[in-house]
This record gives sequence, structure tokens and C-alpha cells, in this order.
Amino acid sequence: MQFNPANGHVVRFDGRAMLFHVPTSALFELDECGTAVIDCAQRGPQAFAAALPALEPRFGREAVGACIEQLMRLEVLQEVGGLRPINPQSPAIDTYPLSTIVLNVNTGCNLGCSYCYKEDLAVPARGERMSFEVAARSVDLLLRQAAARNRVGIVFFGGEPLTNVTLIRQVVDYAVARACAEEKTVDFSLTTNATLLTPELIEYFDAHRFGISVSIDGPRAVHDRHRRTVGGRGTYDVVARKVRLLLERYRSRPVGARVTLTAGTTEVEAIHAHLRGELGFHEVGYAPVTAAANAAHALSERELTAIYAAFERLGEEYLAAALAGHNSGFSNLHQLMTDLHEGRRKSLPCGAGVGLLAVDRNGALNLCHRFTGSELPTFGDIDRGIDGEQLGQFLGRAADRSGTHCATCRIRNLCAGGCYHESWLRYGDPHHRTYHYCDLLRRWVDFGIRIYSEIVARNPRFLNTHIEPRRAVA
Amino acid sequence: MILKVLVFALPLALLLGCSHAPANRSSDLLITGAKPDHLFVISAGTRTVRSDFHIPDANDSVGAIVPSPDGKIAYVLVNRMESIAGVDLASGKEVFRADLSSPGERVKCMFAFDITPDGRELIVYELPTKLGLDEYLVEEPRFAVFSTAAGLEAQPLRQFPAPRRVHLLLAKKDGTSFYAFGFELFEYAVADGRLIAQRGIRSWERPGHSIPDLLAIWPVTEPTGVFASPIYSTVNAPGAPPEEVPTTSLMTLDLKNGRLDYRDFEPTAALIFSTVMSPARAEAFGVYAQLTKIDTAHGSLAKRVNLDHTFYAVNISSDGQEVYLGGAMCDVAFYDAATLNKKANLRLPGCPDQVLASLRVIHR
Amino acid sequence: MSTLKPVNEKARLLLEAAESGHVAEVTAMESVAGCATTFDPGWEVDPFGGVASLCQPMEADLYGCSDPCWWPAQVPDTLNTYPAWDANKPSAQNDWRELDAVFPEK
Repeated sequence: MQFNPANGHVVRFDGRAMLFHVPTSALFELDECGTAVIDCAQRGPQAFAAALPALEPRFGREAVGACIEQLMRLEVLQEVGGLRPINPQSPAIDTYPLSTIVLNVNTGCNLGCSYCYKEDLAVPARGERMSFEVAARSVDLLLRQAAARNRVGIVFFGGEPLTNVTLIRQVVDYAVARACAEEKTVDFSLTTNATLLTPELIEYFDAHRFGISVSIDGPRAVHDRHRRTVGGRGTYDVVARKVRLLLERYRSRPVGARVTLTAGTTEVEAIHAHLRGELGFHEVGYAPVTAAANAAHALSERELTAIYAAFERLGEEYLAAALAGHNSGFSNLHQLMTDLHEGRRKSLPCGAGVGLLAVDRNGALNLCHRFTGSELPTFGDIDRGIDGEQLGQFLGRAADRSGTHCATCRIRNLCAGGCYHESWLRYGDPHHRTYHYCDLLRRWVDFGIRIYSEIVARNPRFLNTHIEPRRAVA
Repeated sequence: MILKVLVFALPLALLLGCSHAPANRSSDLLITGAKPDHLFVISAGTRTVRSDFHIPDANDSVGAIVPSPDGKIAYVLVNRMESIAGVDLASGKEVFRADLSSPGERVKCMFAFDITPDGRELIVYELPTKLGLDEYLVEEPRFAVFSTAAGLEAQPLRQFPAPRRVHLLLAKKDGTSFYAFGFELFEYAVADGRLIAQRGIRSWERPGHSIPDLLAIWPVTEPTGVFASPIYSTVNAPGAPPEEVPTTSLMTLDLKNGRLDYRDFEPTAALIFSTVMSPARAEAFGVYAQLTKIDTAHGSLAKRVNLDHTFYAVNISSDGQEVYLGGAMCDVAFYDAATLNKKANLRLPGCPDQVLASLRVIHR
Repeated sequence: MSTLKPVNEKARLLLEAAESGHVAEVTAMESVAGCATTFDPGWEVDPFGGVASLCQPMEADLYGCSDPCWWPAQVPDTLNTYPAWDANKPSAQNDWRELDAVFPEK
């Protein structure tokens, strides 16, 4: 008998031992007997066999036997020679119950952020706008595909979506009327650089309960490093002013900040203190930049490690706040808490292609908004509909872990291989696993398991008030 | 002979507290409320509606009513328990308004507020909830004290921490403290909110009695200054009914001296929602689907009659001769206290429901 | 007696599944959010198990019990979310037919 690290993973801290059951994302605390058995088993089948007799007088024969049986049923312990990771067969993906479409309303943007991944980005004067015709047919497609759902989402993207507010307004009116007729609810959201917000626009979005995400990188010195106008001027002053206006007035939904971390920017805590503490964003999400390895702004391995170390420090703050009943607004960890709490098991890294598709100005269906204007083939269009065969193949390949390190990785059901676009930029292949993140993410999940266990032990109410309600929204 | 009778009759009349029963009672005024925004003033003598006032911004809810000690103003809990409006009973104008909620904080006062005996301050129980962007935060309850002279945008003068689940608040007659009914019966100082005493409801030591079931949201204390409410518990004592049958007791709190008492009076045979003490005799009246007369001296049921429909609220004339029924639907009924015969029924114009509005009596 | 103490809900479900002899694919559980379930003797039956001691008629009690949220599951929440449910219907016995279901605004 031996321990299979592909199916079970132990996180130890403060004299406690937590067992993460990989195939189901169930989390257990091991008692002394369980901890001792796994300790021995992890030393190898021979060492385990030798150590077993010593365990029996300590815990009792029956207890040890019961413990082993339980761990075997979970496939954490398996017969020697019969080691296999549990990876349930994913059903063939052949239906596309869309819940969300992303509309690229304008490829034009009034900023020229140096790290922008949009391959079709243009200055506003040369931006290519989506026509209402295309947008309306996209909404129609969404509602057709979402027949079984009673709630759908429309995301406005770009370029900078606020450079085409006219279209947004038209789409909102159209979508609300269509959705109403089919007795569905439609949620709207957008990500914006905030520079073009006005009090009137803020009021409009608030009235329609838009989910708003602001792209902002931190205090002035950090933000202005990369987020500049097309003419090269820093934008912090304008953005901060607009953000203050927005946060003062916006009541319908919490407003989040989206930070891109680039080379030279690893002072995550200072960024958080500024965005959350000073500006007052409800929550802040941090994304290490998606870039080709040799891009000037790409993060080096050392910097990535430093960032994740900073995430852990922010995480300790998050824990302290959670124990006091508050959310510190560290979105990355908050999402991980939600995943652990719900025991999320993912076969695919994200909803791209399954629940979400992006429409470009020509009406073609892209895997997601990051791919519009790229060379990745599209998967149908709004007239002919979704190219089910192509998309099915793509997703099938993504879900198939055989022959990859993911097949045995202990976080395979939380990570599921990483962002397609990240892989596309880095390796030229959307199916290539994001190996440059593996160690970091495994360590990050270990950290999350500890934080989650602490919250469960010391203030479980936080889960009821701050984590569980998110399910209703999702 | 006649002289003897007269001499004998006089002290009795004095004991009853009245010499010309109809004249005394005719200066009683009944106050009740009804949806959507009515405050009715009813003349007990003529049994007619004297005034039908409309309370601004009542939001289709008119609840507990507390008259000022001088009988000139009625303070009413309106706006889904979030505001207290003071209405001048002569002109019908709103002369006081405390909106307890503010942007981002919703405050409910669950029937629990009273006025100090000098008429200067209102003590209000507040149950606040902070309305965040994506969560509600339940805050600690508090008492808030308002000056009755504060006008239409009254803000509290002072606030103190309060226990949870208070549903009735009654000021002591000496003006120094007030009682709050929640899990227990609390007594707090008006000046600084200091807890003076805490006596059992949940922890009441009543030999052989289980924890009582208490529903008390009708703040009637007139005319005797004694608050009374039915309570239900199971009794385990010789002579008690079997375990499945609860016992109804009458709980009394004397607001003059703070004396808390209870008197078992029947194995529960009918539900009673609210009660009032008679000023004339050792009896009390309770109402729900029946009108019940309780002999408080002997702890027994004196008489019971069925009513045309459920009434929630009961009150009594200043001379104890007539019992008034209100609450629930749209009529106020007048019953003879001695015989429990129905004397009259007054249908409120438009038939609006009184719901949980209190029925108060003002004696001018 | 288990060597494993469940920490998240998935773990609880898994233990139950394991107990019955097979580790099935345990899927995420739906949460029961929001709804209160109120069983108040005095609505369907009175404290004595009959109906004679319920409010007579039922309309006498309709607003008395809906206004303070006594039966939150059976009527709209007029205390917070739908305060206008009974607007222009001040008399339950006469106006009950006009009382309608409520729908979310957005």
C-alpha cells in the first residue's frame, strides 16, 4: 500500500494536518491516527509496511485499520503497483449553454498602456466600431443559446468601451426589451480605464446596475509607469479623480479594481493600501501581466516569486480581517476561498467557449475577449451560429489531461491548465499548460488551504456572510 | 333609613372613583389608527368619530400609539416601523417627526417606544441594520432619546446600548427609569441608560411553571398605570391541568412602584392577545376571538363571550364601566364591563383595517 | 469514528458517499439561501390543534401578521422590500382580491 500524491495532499501548520482530496476538492482535517498513517505512507511502500506494526499499539489495531480503509476508499492510499490518479471522464462537450457574451464595441482606446495584449488595438481615431446590427444579432444569439437559463450577462469590452457609449446604450435598451420578453434577467458589466467617466454616465450605469471594473495599477508612481495616454502622458490624476467620483456615487453594485503587475512592479501591499485603503475600491484583483517571455514588461521568475510572496503577506492581512468579520478586498484570495468553500472541481480553466464567447466587430465568435483580433481561429459567427464541432474539439483537447503534468498535479481541479491566452502569448499554443506558474500556484493553493482552515476554525460566520452570498450572484 | 342608605352609598361611589358615571365617561376619547395613514379620534360618549387625521408619509403602516400625558398629542409609529410622528389631536397637524433610518442604515422600532411622564422626552428602541453594497450588517440595538420639542426633523439627544428583541417599552411613572420587555424585563435609567435591574421573563422563578410565552405589543397602561398581559406556560403542580394543556396567567407590571406579578387564572381555553386592568374593580379584560373578564382577586375566569370577529386591542373607560375593543379590522366595539353585553359598534369610515395600531384612551 | 473531520461542505458530502460504499463524483451542493420557513401555530392550526382559535375571519389577521413579517415565507416582505403591497387596499376583508403576487423589479 502506498500514498498517492495525485489524489491526496497534506497541508500542515500549527500542529494541524489538513488533507485535500484532489479528485473532489473536499478538505478534511486529519486526526492523530490519520496523520501518522499518512506520514508513514509518504515514506514509501516498504517504509510504510515496516512502520505499521508500531502504529497499532499507539492507536489500536481497529482504529488504524479503519483509518487505512477510509483513506483507501478515497483513493489516497492505493495498492502498490496500482497507483493511478483519479481523473473522471469528462462528458463530451457538445452543447453551448452560453450565459455571457462579450462585445468588443470599439477596438479604439484613448490610452496606450505599454503592456496591452489587444492585438487589434488602435487609436480612437482609427478604432473599428461594432455596428448596432452586429450587436443586436449577438444578443439574439445569446438569448437563443441561453434558452434554459433565466439570467444572462453582457460584457462590454474594447479597446476602451467608453469610446462607444452610443452603442452601449442601444444594446442595453435592446437587450432589456428582448430579455424581458423572454422573461430573463440580463446583467451588464464592463471594464474601463475610467478616464472617460462622467457623472451622467455613472448615474446611467448605476441605474442599470452595471458591474464595473476599473483598470488601475496603483498609486501615481506605479500607475503612470505603463498606463499612459497615446501621447505618452501619465493618466493617474485623471483616473483617480474619476474613480473618486465613481466610488462616491455608485450604489447598485460593488466596484472592483483590476491591477496588472509588470516588470519592476512587485510592491503589491503598497498598491493594495492605496487602492483599497485610500481610494476605497471594494475589492482589488491582481493579475501578473500576460506577456511573451521576452517582452520588456514581462515579469521575471524572481519577480513572480516576489509577487506571490507579497500575495501571501496580503493574505495574512486578509485572514486577520476575516477573523474580525471583514473582507480586506484582496480579490485573488477571496476567489480562492470561494473555490475551496464550494469544493469547486474544474475540468476546464475557465468558461471560455462553454459559458462565454466574445464577438468582434465582424460578428465572428472568438474564444474570449482577449482573442478578438488575434490569429486564433474563430468558432462561427452570429449568423451561422456557433461552430459546434470546432469548439467541441478545442474544449475536448483542453479537458484532456493525458500526457501532461496536469494529469497528476494536486491542483489540477482548481487550476485546470491555466489561461488559454496566457499560453497563446507565451508558448504560441492555447493548449500548452502554463507550466511557468505551476510551482507558484501549488504553493498558493497550500496557502489558501491554511487560510481557509483557519477561518473555518476561528470565524466560520465569515463564510456565511462573505463567501456564500457570492454563489447566488454567480 | 334613607339616610343610612345614602351614607352607605357614598363611600362606595368614591371607591369606584366616579359619581356621575356617564358624564365622566363621556369625556373619554379613544385613539386608534388604521391603514393607510389614519389617526382616528373617537368620542366615547357619543360613540362617533370626532376626527379622522392623515399622518404624512406613513407608508401604509400605522402601529403603536403613545399619547402625551396631557392628552394633546399622539405619537404614532409609522412608515413600516421606521418613523415616529407626533400628531396634534386638536388640529391634526404633524408637530413632531423622528425618522429613525438614514442613508445606508435602516432602523426599525418594533412597537417599543414611550413618552416620559413629564411629556418632554420620547424613549425609542432602535434595531439598526447597516445596508452595505453587497451585504447587510446587523448592528447592536440601542435606545434613542428624543426631545418632544424637536419638531419635524428630530434627532436623538442621546443613545444607549440596548438588549436584543425588545418589543415593548414603558416609562415608569416617577420619570427616572423605563422598562423594556425582551427576553427578560429590563429597567434602565432615562438619564444615562444605566441598567438598573433585570428580572425574569425567561428566567422568571415561578415554582412549577415553565418559561412563559409572552406576546406583548400593545402598550396600554391607562387608566390604572398597571400594564397587564396574558402569559402562557405549562404548570407542574398538584391540581394543575395535564401537561398538554397550558395555563393562562395574567402578568402585571405596576409602573408606579415597579411591582411585577402574575396570577394563574385558567387552563388555557381561549387565546388572549392583550389585556387591560379595570380602575373600578379587581378585574381585567382580555381580547382576541372572545372577550374575557378575569377576576384578578381570585385568579379565575369571571366571564367570557364570543365576539363577532377577532379584535387585537382592548381598553377601558376611565370609570371602568365600559370596555372598548379595537385593532385588527375596521370597527371599534363598546361592551358593558359588568355584563359583557355589546352596547355598540362603530364602523370606521371607509372600513380601513386598524391592524396592530394600539387603542388608547385619553381622559380630558 | 472517523479519522477525517470534514472542513468544507464537499468533504461532508464525500464522507456520506464513502459511507455508502462508493466514492461517487461528488458535485457541488446547491445552497439554500434566503427563504425563511416559518411554522407558526396560529396560522394553519391554532395552539390547540384545531382551527377554532385562529383569527376569525382570517382577514382579521392578514395585515396584522404580514406587516411585522410574522409569516415571511407566505406573503411578500412588506416590512422592507414591498411596502406598497397593500397600497390602496386598506380593508383586508373587502380588498383581499386585489392583493397580488410581487415580482422583482430588475
